[in-house]
Parts: sequence; C-alpha cells; structure tokens
Amino acid sequence: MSRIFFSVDVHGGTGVWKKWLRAPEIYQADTLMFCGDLTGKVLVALIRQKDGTYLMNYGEPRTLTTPAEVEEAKATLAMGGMYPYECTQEEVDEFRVSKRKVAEVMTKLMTQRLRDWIEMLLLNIEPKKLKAVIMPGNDDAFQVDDVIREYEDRGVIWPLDNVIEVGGFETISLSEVNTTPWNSPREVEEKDLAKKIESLASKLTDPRKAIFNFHAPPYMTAIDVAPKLSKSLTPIMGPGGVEMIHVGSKAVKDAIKQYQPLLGLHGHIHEGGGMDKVGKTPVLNPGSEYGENILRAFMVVTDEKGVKGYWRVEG
Amino acid sequence: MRNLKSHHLARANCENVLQKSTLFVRDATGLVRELSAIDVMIWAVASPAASGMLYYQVSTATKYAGASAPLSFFIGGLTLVPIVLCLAYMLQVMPRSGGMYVAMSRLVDPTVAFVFSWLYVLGNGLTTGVMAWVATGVLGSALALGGHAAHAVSLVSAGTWMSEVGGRTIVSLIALVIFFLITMYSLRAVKWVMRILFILPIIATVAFIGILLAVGPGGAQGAFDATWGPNVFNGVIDAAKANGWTNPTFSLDNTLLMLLVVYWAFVGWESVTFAAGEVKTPKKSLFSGLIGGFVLTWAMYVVLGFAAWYPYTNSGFISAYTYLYDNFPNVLAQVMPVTRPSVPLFAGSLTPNAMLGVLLMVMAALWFYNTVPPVLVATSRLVFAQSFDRALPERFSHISSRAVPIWGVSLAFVGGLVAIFVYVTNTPVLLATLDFTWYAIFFIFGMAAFILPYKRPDIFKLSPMQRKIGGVPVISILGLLTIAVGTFLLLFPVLELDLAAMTFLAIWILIGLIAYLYMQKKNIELGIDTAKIYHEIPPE
Repeated sequence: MSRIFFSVDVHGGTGVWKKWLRAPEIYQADTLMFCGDLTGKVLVALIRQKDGTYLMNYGEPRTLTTPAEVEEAKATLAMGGMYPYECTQEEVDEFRVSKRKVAEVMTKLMTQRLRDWIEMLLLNIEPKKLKAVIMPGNDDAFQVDDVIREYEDRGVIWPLDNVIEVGGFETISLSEVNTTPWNSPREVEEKDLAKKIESLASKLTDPRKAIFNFHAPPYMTAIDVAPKLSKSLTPIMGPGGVEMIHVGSKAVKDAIKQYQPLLGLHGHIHEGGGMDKVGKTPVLNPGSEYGENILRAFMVVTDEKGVKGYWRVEG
Repeated sequence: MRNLKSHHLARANCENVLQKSTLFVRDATGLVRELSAIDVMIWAVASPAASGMLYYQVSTATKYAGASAPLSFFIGGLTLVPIVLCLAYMLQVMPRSGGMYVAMSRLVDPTVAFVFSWLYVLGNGLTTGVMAWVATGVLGSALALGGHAAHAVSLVSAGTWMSEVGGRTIVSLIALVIFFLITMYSLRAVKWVMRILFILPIIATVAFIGILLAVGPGGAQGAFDATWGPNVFNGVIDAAKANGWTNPTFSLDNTLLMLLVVYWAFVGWESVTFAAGEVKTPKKSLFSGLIGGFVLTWAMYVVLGFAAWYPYTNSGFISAYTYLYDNFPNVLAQVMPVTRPSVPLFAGSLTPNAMLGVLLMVMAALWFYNTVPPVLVATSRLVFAQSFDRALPERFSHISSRAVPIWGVSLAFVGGLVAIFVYVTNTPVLLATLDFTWYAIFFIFGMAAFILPYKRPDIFKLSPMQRKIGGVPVISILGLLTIAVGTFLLLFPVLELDLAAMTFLAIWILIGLIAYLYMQKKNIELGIDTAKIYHEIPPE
C-alpha cells in the first residue's frame, strides 16, 4: 500500500513548502509530490538608505529601521511567495525600465530559494524510504528544471519526459498547459498539448493502469473553474458574484477519456480545488491558497489493485 | 543631531521614493500581446505594398519593353512561396520578438545572426525615411495631377510644392515625426492607425481595378480625353511614334528581367514577424496572417497588373507614354502635364469624375505611408531582441510604461532622418543599400530552417510541420529553397552596389561589430555565460 501526498502551485510560498515537508510525519505519507508552479512572480525591493534603514512599498510604504525588522519583513514576504531583494535606489530605477533586469534578478532569487527548499527537504526525508517528486508548472521558467535535476542523484525524482513510478504505478507528467491570458513560459496550443500527451502515453505499458500527472486540469470538470476575465484581465462581476468559466484543457480531457488511467492529478487553477471524474477516472486538483499560507493537498492511497481512496487535506 | 534642512530633504526624498511601489512582477519581456491575425495580415500587405501597387506595374514599360507585368508578378510571387512557408512554419516553432533573428542566432551562429540582422536594422531604419519621402512625392503628384484634371489651381500649387525638394522635405519630416510619435506612444495606437491606413488605399486600389476593367479597351481613349482634353490620348501616341517608339510585342526575357523590381515590390511582408512576441495566439495568428497577407498581396499585384494594362493594351498607350517620359519628357510636356507613370495616373485618368479621381489617387498614395509604422516597429523589436540577448547595450531592451522599446524606435527614427537627408542631397547610394540589407537576411534564415531538425530536435518536435519527403524534413527542404532564393535575391543588389554603397555598408557593419564585441567583453567581465543565452529560446 502506498500513501501519496499530492500538492500543487506553491508559487514561492515558503510557509506552504515547510508544511508540505511535514506531511510524512502528520499523514504517514511515503510519497511526496509537489507538482506545478513552484516559483513566485513578485520581487519586492528593499531599498537600502544611507542611514542603514530600508524603504519598501508593497501595498503601503514602510521604513524598516532595525535588522530584525528587515529579517521579519523578508520572512513574511517569503512566506507569501514573494522575493525580497535588498538593493540600491539605482537598481530600483533600473528595474522600472528594464524587464530584463527584473527577470535576471528574479531568476537568481527563484533558483536560490528552490535550492534552499530542496536542501530543507533532503534534511527532513530519507530518499531511500520516502519518494519526493518535484515538478515545475507552466509558470516556472525553464531554469528551474536544471535546479531540480541537480538533486536527482540525491533522491529527488524528476518526473518530466519519462515514465516514473508513483504508488506502484507508472506515471507520466506534463508541466505545460493550454494557452492562458498570462503568457506564462510553458503554454502550448491544444493540438501541441495533445501531441505531447500522445508521445508520453506511448511509453506506458498499460495506460489504464497508469497515473496521469498533468498540471492542466481537464476541461469542463469541477476542477477547472476559474474567474472570467475582462480584456484588462480583471475578474468580471455578475449578478451572483464573480463570473466563473471552465478554462481547463480539452487535450487533457480527451486523453483521459481515451485512455481511462487510474487517476488524474492536476493543479494550475487555484480556485478549482476539488475532485471529479472523467469516465471512470477520478481527477483531483488540490487548489492553492499559498498567499494565505494554507497548504492544500490530496492524500491518495493506492494498493496493488489501484486507487483505494483519496481525500482532500488542508493545513 | 541631524541638521534640520538635511532632515527635511531626507524626508522629502523618502516620501518621493515611497510614493512609487517597489514591487516588480516577473513579466518576461514586458511586451504586450496586441496584434490579432487580421492585424498580421494587414501589416503583411501594407509593408510591401507601395511601389508594387502604384508604379512597377506600368513605370517599367520602357526599361522592360514587352514584359507582361501580371506574369512577372505571378512568377515573382511563386518563387517567394517557399520563403513565406518557411518563415510561417518556423514562427510556429518559436514565435518571439526579433522574429528571424531568434532562429538564426539559436540555430546558425549568434555572431553571424547579429551581423545580418544588424544589416536589416539599417535597411529598415532607412526605409522609414525613404517611404516618407516617396509617399510625399506621390501625394504631391496626385494632388498636382488631380488639380490639372479638375482645373483646381490650389491643388496644383499644393501638389507642386510637395513635389519640389523644399516642400517634400518638410512634409516627409512631418510624416516621419508623426509616425515616430505614434509608435513611441503604444503598439495599440499603431494597430489602429494601420487599420485605417490599410482600408483607405485598399478601397482606392479596388476602385481603380474596377474602373480599369469597366472602361476596357473600347472606352480608354474617350475617357482619357474627357479628363485631359481632346486628342491628348492620340497625341501622346503620335508623339512617341514620331520619336522612334513602336508598340512592343510580348517578351519573355524582359518579363523575367522585370523580376528585379518585382522582388523589391514584395520586400517587407516579413516585417510583422519581428513583433511576433506581441501577437495574440502567435502560432495560429502569425501563420494565417502571414500566408493570408502574402497571398492577398500577390493576388492584388497580379490582378492590378492585368487591370492596369487592360484598357490600354490595343493602343499601346502606357508603353508610348512611358517611352516619352523616360526619353523625351519635353515632348510629352507639349501634349499633357508630365507625371511619373503610375497606376493612379492611368486609372485616375479614366475616372468619370475628376475630383473622385483625385480622391482615389490621394488614398492610393497612402500605400507608401502605411509602410512606415510596421517598419518602425520591426526595427525596434529586432534591436530589442538583440539587446535581450546582451548583444547590444541594455538600453535597447528598456520599455516604456506602455510596453514600447523606446530606444529601438528612436534608432529606427534616426535611420529615417538619415534617409531623408540622403534623398535631399540626391545621393544615389540609397536604393542599392536598401536592397542588399533587406534581402541578405533570408540567406541565413534559410540555413536556420534547414538545420533546425538536426541541431535542435527538441525544438523541432514542437513544429506542426513534421512531415518528411524522401526522409528529409519538409522544413529543411523549405530552408534549402529559402537559401537558394535568398542567394538569388542577395546577388541582385550586390551587382548594383557601387563603391560608395559598399563603403557605407562596411562602416555600418563595423559599428555593429564594435558594439557587439564590446557587449561580449562586458558579459565576460560580469561572469555571464553567453553560450547559455543562445542555447535557450527567449521568453515570449
């Protein structure tokens, strides 16, 4: 029997990551999966002043006068998935005109945080006793892949491009999603997504006895519902509140319909946390509330016959 | 204890800083997707369509006596099909700002890609000024011509002023500045301006085609004389005959030689691809927009070529007029006002209403103006991509709050100013330089396409075109054909370059290489691994 702890979309939130690390202890999980959107998107500059204080403006302006305040601010920002960065006013002025500069600094911060996280993971788990699968998602820059792969020889499992074993079953994984309004690094059109899935599925011995770990949820299910956005990318309000639409992938839905794997594990849509079925295949999306430091996950239990059960957890 | 004045200053500075957020979002390039498939198509038509719509159908009648304009345009378009398909498929694989440069730098060689793209930057920059200059001349001619036909003295004066060096310079500069400001403002503004600047000349062109076909050979003489006065039509023909002209018969040789101008007429359709990073659903939109735009341009050229000659074929009038214009303009001036042979002239002259004819001519002149904005955008995005790769100073990847790479646009604008200056001083170097700088890039791009499946199979498997013929990927075959046609296109202008042009190009390449090598040195000092930059595809 295997107990899989599956979570998604941490977006740089250190607090959520630390909670995930405790899953083996709290839930007796023997497989940890953190799949999709590992990195955050926001850099908060802490501007060094001549008198040793720091200025920052994240929502409201604040002056940090002591080293303790600075460390506390950095920790709070990191918990929420942001990347605090101590810098000068000149650097901030450059950030304002150069997206490339922002991207360069953020890449360094993102990869460093990911390394720190994985080191934390390896301190907490014994790779021989417990499996740890870490997968990037559509929002993650490709530099992240190299970081994760650096730790393969220390027990971290890289799931992309090949078939891995999870819970005793062959598992194929996909970080790309169907196109979104956000131009994230790993978006492809549906027909390309279908090709990639086909290519992965062809490597399986028996797709009906496999797990599909695809970051994009299947279209028109209970787990792909997200707010409808206006042209300026803000949620549209309707009579009943925020209007919601299905934004999942048709290619993923068609593949699950066709192959009827044991289980579909998904993420990507933070508001789409829940479960559904496509044919006989259960499809799960833990959702995400990393910004509130809440860990959302699914506990999945498998045995040699298949999926025994699954339930949603929150911490 | 802190000095009170410095305390207030420090507080003021603090408040100043804190008014602005210190939060920055990871946005990749920072550019915004603004263009739809329709916009891609519009730009793919508007960028090349200028001389091909207005002049080359008829103005080369003496130089290429007996050439069939529609046939020449048909053949020219046909030979470009592999390049169009090659580019369309390659963009589906990596639709990025910088277009062909990205593929060339990742697949062929970064330095070679930089040099050929740098040449393209020169060509584009100069073209903005060339188009503004030529457009103003066309507009001036249209106004003068229309003024003659409509007996409107003010129009004649305005048109004449715009056709002379002083007036032409002023109006060209004004036009260039206006387009520069629009392009600096936002891509959305350029998009809407282009939609308007496209519709108007299309309407005029379709109207001209309709008028030419409707009048036909039987009605040409009467309609022409109704515009210009009794016996003008036969007067031109008689004057040409008296000065040695005979009505030429069909010449296949000259039809093929006419390809020299036909290829120039097609140049520019690829401009929009440099802004691929700002196209919505780029893989679909770029593919359909590019191919649709090319086919529409091709079709319009062929149909316009046929229509322009149709009413005049039996009489040989176009050939006679062009003969006099090229060789005996003083003789022509005794029969009718002398104006450069053009489609607006020959079609406008058959228009039943003189003011309508003027209006259509003015609208048709916009074909030249609407080349300027896409070329400004293309140049700035190419330079943006080069800067993003750290091949050019960082400043060129800076963007405004409306997501415009302002330094790149400014560079293109400076190129335009230089071109106007060159025209004003009547320096002949310009056109040969333009031809070379526009065509050179396809030669290297073809190599990129050829090598893609072999050098980067990981990227190739993303291509929708995975088919093979005889075991060779179709995209490689298209790449080979692009190299072949690209070489042919490259050799035309090489044969035309004189010493001044060669010197000018050599200096330009030197400037670019100095900047490039300086950046490589700086990158090494900063510990940046440039090999990694060129291994990765840039963000969208």
